[in-house]
Amino acid sequence: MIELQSLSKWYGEVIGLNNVTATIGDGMTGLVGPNGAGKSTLMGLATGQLLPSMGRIRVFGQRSWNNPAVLSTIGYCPEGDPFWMNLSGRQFVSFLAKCSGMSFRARRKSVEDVIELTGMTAHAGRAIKGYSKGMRQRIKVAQALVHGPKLLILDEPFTGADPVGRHELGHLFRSLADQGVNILISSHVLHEVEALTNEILMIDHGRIVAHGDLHSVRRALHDRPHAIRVRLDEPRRLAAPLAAVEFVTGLKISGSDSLLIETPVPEQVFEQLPDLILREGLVVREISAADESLEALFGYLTQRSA
Amino acid sequence: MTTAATTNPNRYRRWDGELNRGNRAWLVIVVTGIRLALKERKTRTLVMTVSGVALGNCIILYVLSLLELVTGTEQGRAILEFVRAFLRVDISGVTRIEEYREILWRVLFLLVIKVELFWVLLTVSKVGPGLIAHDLRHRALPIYFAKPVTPLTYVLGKWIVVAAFVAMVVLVPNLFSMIVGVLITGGLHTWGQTLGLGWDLLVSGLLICVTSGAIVLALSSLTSDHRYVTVGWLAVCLLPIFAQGILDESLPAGSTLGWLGCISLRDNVMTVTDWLFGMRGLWEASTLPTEAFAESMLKPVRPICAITVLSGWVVCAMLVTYWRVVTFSRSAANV
Amino acid sequence: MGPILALFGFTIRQTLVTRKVWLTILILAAPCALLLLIRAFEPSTRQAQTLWEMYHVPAHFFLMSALVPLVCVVHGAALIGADIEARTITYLTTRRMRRATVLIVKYVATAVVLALLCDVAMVGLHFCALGGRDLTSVIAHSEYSGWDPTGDLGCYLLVLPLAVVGFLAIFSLIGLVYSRPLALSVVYLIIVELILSNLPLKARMYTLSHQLRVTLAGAIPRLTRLYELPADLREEMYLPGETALVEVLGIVVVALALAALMVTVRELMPAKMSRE
Repeated sequence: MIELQSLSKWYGEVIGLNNVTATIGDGMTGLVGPNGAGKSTLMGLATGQLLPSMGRIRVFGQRSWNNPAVLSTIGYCPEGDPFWMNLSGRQFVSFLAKCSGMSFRARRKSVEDVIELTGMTAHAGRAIKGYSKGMRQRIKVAQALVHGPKLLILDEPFTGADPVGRHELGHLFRSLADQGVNILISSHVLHEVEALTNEILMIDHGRIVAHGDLHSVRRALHDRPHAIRVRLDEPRRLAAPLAAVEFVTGLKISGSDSLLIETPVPEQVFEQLPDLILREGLVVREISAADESLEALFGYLTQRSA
Repeated sequence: MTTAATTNPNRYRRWDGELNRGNRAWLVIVVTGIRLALKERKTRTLVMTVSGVALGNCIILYVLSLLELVTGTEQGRAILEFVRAFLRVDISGVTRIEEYREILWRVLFLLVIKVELFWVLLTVSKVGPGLIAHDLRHRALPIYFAKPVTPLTYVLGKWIVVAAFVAMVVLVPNLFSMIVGVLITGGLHTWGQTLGLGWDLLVSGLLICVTSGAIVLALSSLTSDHRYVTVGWLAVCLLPIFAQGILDESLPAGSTLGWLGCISLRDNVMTVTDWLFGMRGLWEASTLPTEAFAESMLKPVRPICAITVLSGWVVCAMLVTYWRVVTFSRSAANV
Repeated sequence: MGPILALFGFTIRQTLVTRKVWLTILILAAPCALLLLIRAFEPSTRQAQTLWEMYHVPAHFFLMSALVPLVCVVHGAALIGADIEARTITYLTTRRMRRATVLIVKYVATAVVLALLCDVAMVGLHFCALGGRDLTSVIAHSEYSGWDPTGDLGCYLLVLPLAVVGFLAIFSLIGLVYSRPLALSVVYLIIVELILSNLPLKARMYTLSHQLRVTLAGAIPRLTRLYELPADLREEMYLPGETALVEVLGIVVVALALAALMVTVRELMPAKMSRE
């Protein structure tokens, strides 16, 4: 879908992207990274807003800069508040649908559809300047969807939306992905991306620090012991036999009902854990991988790249 | 037993405490405004270049002091020729030049102020437009009014920023040139003779500060886009000069000496300065023939008309600025 | 054609509904206000020459040479700049249009609106200056007896749109070259179009104001009396019947081509934004 080849972008002395090579495949991909990592730069390059300083970027096999054929297949939801404030939400979406070359009939139907899909039907007649931040996000998403793009590029689409709005937008993106729309979504709120997709592209300081499925990325971090959290009533009774297990490198009891096991080979520990629990006659409420969350991975990776 | 919960609505609340005596909020606004403006290289350059005018003024004052010493000589005649060409004053028949020193100085300073008004135009267009417009654009007014700053303090602070820059390009160079002129011409006698001029320079400088500051602030408060303020300021200053020229050409000579002669801001400032300098009275008191100074005289527009028009501009501009700022401060309070 | 027509209509709408249009109307109405002021205080009898000058000086030196360029500065600097600043350019350059098309369509739409406004201002000026006057009796037996104000109005109505097209192209280009286009445009306007074009030098031939004057003086030869030039230079530069249409359109084409090239090869995002 998007191919990056030795792609670099710098602004004077500031590096936006640093020699990035990657292929973003079909489906939904989360683009994560801290502020200033290069997420918006990558999206700007993909949507033909920015020119690479070095290397090249291809969207559906073609360059997107000044290329209407490619641009008409992309729906872009930029970050911030870029609006013609005097327009109503409907006029805004309708104008951009016209600019996408849609016929009158198709446009009329599509505009109303996307407005409804984004939950803006009741407010579409009002001027955008009177919209709340959440409404602005929704109408931006609506304009990105109106021409039925094959690829949706969403730059921080949850910013400013309330919890209900976030949930609804997330649901919309998931259903679009289910319908076959490719989505590249950026956010620095990691659990939002995690809730949407396992496929991530993690950027920090203009470099890709991880790319791929969340779990495979975690597995690739050999030098980091994995953490397994066990919730049970008597953590000390489980800690004693675990201390003798070969692959366990660390044990941490937190509170009265939680034991954190550190190991470089979690599969082995998972294999032995049921026997130990049964032998001690313990009642376990939960066993989970404590550091396979995107947040934990992000912490490891950005620490390494810093 | 249940306890009654206390709720504290977490919204903006207007500051309603008592101001301390000696509150210096305006000074903070002034200092910050001046510091930010001076950070721009172009503004610094603009202010610095006016020293060229002051230097030129000092050189001419030196030449005039030289004339007093070399009257009647070949060199003196050359200087008189220069005075006739540059100041448009013919004093070739005069033997005791020092008696006309004050008149010559006043003609010279009138000319210099006319030149400096160009710097005022540029400096104010650089410094003034963003003063309130930027605050409106970035919604910074609620931040000011969440502090012990009243709209009046705010407007006053912003106005002083413009006034300070105008003073830098008009008042400071003129007073500096005058002091240098007194020093090179020599003696307390010169000081006594030109003391009135110093005072007049101060008043005319303040007049320019007040007028330009008030107008640019009013324009700045009308929009959040400082570019339109710049265009507006240039239009307010330049277009009436064109218009006045057309009026002078199209209407009979006498009819543009009253209200119809007060369209241009620059001409009004010059008329009032001319009146402050008392040029007409000085010439009438002199023994020189009328033709000797006719060319250096401004169009005799009635000063009361110019003063009224300028006062009208200032009052309207201040009211507009105050009204806009108060409106914003109230809307901020209702957030 | 759909996207082009959409953008054309949208630009016209945006030009007419934003605050800029009020500033434009205010500026263009200045000659009418001035003429009404003159008429309110003018003497009861008028010489043919005074009337002629009262008509042409505001039309030529005020409206065409000062106000039209000023209006074009305001709109030219914002042609693409306003969208860059509001970041709405993102929407236009990610749609089914080439970047140069966006520029040209916006330019044409703005030029149409401004040309219409300028022509309306000129018609207003015509009536404010001459409306309700018994012109025939004033100009009869004077050297202005052949003066046809309606014909002159027609000339202005044709030359003013030409001025709009030319100045807007120049200031649109400046708007893309420099990050603070308004300041540079004003400097260009004062130095080149107001000062250089009025100097008794041949260098004035390279200014748009001069070329517009050549066109206007070709149609209204008497206008050359208003130009303060040595007679030989005046006769050499302004010939009756001559037009500088090719030169003006040449300036427009060159300026627009450069502007189109710039939008095609340059990023149109504010630096601060693209660094985020």
